[in-house]
Amino acid sequence: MKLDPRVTILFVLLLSSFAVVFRNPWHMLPVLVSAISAVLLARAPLLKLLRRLRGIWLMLVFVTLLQTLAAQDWLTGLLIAATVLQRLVILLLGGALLAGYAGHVLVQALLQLRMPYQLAFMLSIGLRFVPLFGESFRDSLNAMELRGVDLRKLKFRTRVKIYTWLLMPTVASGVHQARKLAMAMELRGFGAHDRRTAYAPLRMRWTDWLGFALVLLWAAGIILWRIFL
Amino acid sequence: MIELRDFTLAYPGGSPLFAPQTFTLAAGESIALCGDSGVGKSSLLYACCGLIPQQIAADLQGELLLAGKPPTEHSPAERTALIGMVMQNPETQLFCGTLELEVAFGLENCCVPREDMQQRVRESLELVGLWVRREESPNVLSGGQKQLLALAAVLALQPKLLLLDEALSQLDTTACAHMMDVLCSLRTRGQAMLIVDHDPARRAKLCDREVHL
Repeated sequence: MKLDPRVTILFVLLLSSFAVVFRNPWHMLPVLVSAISAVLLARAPLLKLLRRLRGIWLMLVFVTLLQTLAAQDWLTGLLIAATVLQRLVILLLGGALLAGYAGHVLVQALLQLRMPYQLAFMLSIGLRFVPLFGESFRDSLNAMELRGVDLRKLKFRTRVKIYTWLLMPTVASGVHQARKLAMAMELRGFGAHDRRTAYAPLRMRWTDWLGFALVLLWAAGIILWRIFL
Repeated sequence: MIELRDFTLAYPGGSPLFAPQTFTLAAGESIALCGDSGVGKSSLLYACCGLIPQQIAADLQGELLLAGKPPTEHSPAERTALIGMVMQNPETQLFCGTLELEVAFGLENCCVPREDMQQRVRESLELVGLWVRREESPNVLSGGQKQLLALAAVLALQPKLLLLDEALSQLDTTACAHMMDVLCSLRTRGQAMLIVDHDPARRAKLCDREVHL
């Protein structure tokens, strides 16, 4: 059973805040353990997310190595690297927790958390455009290959040049699509009133309230751990 | 509903798209806009709902009135109540997570109470035959079904004037026949429509007269 997204948003916000504020790997450890447990409990689509973010793993290794090498001695470097690594993994796990909800459910949660509706929709539509850009770029590449250009056989420099050529029309088409979408939204009354009603408002069940209380207790526990350790 | 007096428009640095037009579209009337591709039919529809010049820069000549006032002088809320438009490409009009949320989007913006909203969403989706798929994502629909959904989303708002910009162009024969029935029934109920469609048979069936740009 999934918790109300507002409880999950609160948990992820606290999780991320602790990850950013804490500077000691021992302080960060229970936060990491909590994040892993929450992902397992929520059966969040972690593997799917990791597969999508393959590039992130290279960055994690690079950042860890860089932190180790930049420190004065190897032990301090290792500790800093462990902190940075934990921080990034926690943020990633937080993302996985939110990825378990459909986009429109998250938007509704943000609206009910009093976020201005223009901002909530801007966020959701912005996220929707990221895969569309990728798709449009891939379509252009496929169209080029269908006209006889085998990109794999080209030199690296030529390939980069081709990618640059394709980037401009892809961005232009994205901007054009965004503009049309804004027009369609305006025609359907978006922004016409200061407030809006909700077709499918979220309602907190007793299990959500229990989850909310547990999140607050957990946050208090983490703060105490930080103070007394 | 719509009055044009010697009206034409030109995009920045360009010449007027079409010869000055003078015509009136009364409440309950249905008019087809005809002309070659690129002559400015869609642009005229955009001007009718105020998107030109508010969102797209263009030089307007002559006079265009929507319910007695230039479209840009109506508040966005008034304009939504007066006019509804289905654009050419449904891909750029759909963005919600499910079909019913897509139809409800405009109603939520217009602060329609939840009970009324549920009824209007159901009616609109049933009208276009998509109610059974209400919980699916619009992304899984075919091009024609997306056009039907875009139409349902506009119809739910019950606008006084319906602008259709080649809204039937991607439909298969069955869906097109179904949509023609829907539009014909709207017409007999007194729905004012301004239609851009390249098919003369459909225009003859749906419209009282044609305006050539």
